[in-house]
Amino acid sequence: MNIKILLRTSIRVLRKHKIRSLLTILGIMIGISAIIVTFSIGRGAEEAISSTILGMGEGTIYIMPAEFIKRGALRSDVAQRVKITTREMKKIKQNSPEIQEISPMQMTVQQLEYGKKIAQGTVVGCHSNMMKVNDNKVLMGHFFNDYHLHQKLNVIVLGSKIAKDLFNTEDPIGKIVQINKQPCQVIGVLENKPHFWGPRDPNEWAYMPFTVAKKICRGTDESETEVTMIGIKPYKGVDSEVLLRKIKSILRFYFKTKPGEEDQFTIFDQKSIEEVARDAAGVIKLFGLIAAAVSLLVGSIGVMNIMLVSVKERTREIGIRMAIGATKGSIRKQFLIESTTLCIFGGLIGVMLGILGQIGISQAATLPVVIELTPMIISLIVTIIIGVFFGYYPAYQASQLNPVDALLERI
Amino acid sequence: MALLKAIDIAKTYHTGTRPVQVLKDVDLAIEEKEFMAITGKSGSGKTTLMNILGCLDTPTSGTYLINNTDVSHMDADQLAHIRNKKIGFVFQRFNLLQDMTAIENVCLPQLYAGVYEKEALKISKEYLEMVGLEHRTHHFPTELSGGEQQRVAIARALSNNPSIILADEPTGNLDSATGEKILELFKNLNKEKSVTVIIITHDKGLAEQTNRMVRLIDGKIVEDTKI
Repeated sequence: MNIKILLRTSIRVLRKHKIRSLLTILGIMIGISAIIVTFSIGRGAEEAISSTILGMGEGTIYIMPAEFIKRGALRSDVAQRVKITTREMKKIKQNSPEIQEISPMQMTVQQLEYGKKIAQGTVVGCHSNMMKVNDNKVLMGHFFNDYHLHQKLNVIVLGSKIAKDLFNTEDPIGKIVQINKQPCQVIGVLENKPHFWGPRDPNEWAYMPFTVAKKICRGTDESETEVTMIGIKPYKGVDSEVLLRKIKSILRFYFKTKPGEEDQFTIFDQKSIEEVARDAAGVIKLFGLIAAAVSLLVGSIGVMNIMLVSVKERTREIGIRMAIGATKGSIRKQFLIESTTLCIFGGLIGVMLGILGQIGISQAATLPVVIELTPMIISLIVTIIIGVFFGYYPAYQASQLNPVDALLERI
Repeated sequence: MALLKAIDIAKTYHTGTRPVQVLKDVDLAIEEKEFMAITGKSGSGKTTLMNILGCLDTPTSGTYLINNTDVSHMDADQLAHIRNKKIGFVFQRFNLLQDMTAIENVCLPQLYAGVYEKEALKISKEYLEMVGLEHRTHHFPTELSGGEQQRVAIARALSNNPSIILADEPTGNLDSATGEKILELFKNLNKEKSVTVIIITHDKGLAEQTNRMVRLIDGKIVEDTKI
């Protein structure tokens, strides 16, 4: 008997017991939709991470004191903290012709006030080339230049979110905002950067000359040279691995780090951040998949159970089929196709639910919607495997019935 | 050369503590184109004999030959093949599949034999016409009367063109008028299509309308008469 006829028979049987079939495949449906949602959240998170990383500037490297992060893994033991200053920055620049732009970054969280409005943001004291370091673009006005830097003029360039919070529809250019009771003139506003999650929204940053930030934000004397981090933009085509190793050896030499000792600083490049972020996304995926697997297992046992019931209920039918010439193999095939059809239906409904769930979650979490074919195909393959694997025992039982006993329902 | 030949067949069931011998020393030869009845009271072993003759069951001892081939030691799939090709069953309870229409029921043995569905449908239609049910092809068993259901069952039994029809109390669930018609149908099949028809019944009146009567008492053949 060919598969087409068996499939038609299966669908007829499943339709006859609609509610029972639906309840049976509930576990499969939930499991499969969990797989779809998990995959898409994972992918969405990766996309979000990628665009956030691109928001750091393409190929940009950041150096911070104390190594708390290693390639791909957070470190629990934080090595002794050293100061990184503009002196180290100059050493790096002198020894690395691969570097196109380099800027110190002195970062503090500040309250910015305009009239009665208050916005909180990260104020970055930097050099005039900062926009080239992190690939930011000015939307209105302009960035500060070396004149502002050397004359220590109180000017500030706002990220888009701060500008919106403080000025809303008003034109911010030329207006005065207060930071630590010090007036600063807004000379530019930056373009909005894509940002999906996490506390560090780059649109909540504001930039001012390094010399001014020291004075206003830290109140330290002007000879202070400590920085929060150094931002480096290499020339295009530079092998970042080679440059990273070079910077590392310069700093180790400068800090007199002994061979075998851990670094006292951290170098962030896109790759290392990406790896950490992908690990985090991987953990989310793993938990989702474990939940999906548990649900699928429970669902599969449900399918097996209902198939055993079905075989029991249809003992006489099996007997009749055997009497008119069905072999053990064809009885087994019939029940296997039935369980597989059941599971495939569960899988298909699960995929649909998954897509709906995914759209819902993406909207709630402002993640990009990523609809991919691969998890759907994987899901359907999984359901077929479940149908065959968990349907085999009931089908085998059916095929082992003795025709006479089955006909008389003497089981 | 006999079509069916049972030699010294015995069947013992092992249920409970004591073995129960249901058939003993059964020797029976059935020729082609015979129209006969196996009778006996309930518990006489006639259904067990039918199951063995129909390859639904195997004897505990003895030899059973169909067309001179020993089938008493065949495996389940080989027996399924013989049931499919050589034997058509008609049961007292009709035993149609309730979820299938009349024509689908008739098709089933052919589909198990590997006939294409289109071809099977064509043949099935012819058989349904033959039993006078051309107007009922797409009805489900529940929509048919007992007599009609039994006709569908007969069309199904015929659909692989078997050489033997085994009918177990085929009129047992029918009123006497309908029963007469079914018996008439068997007679015609035997005459026109040269099918060997074996009717298992406790009804002596019915048995006497055949050409040969084999009577069983306590698992033994006690009478074998040509009528």
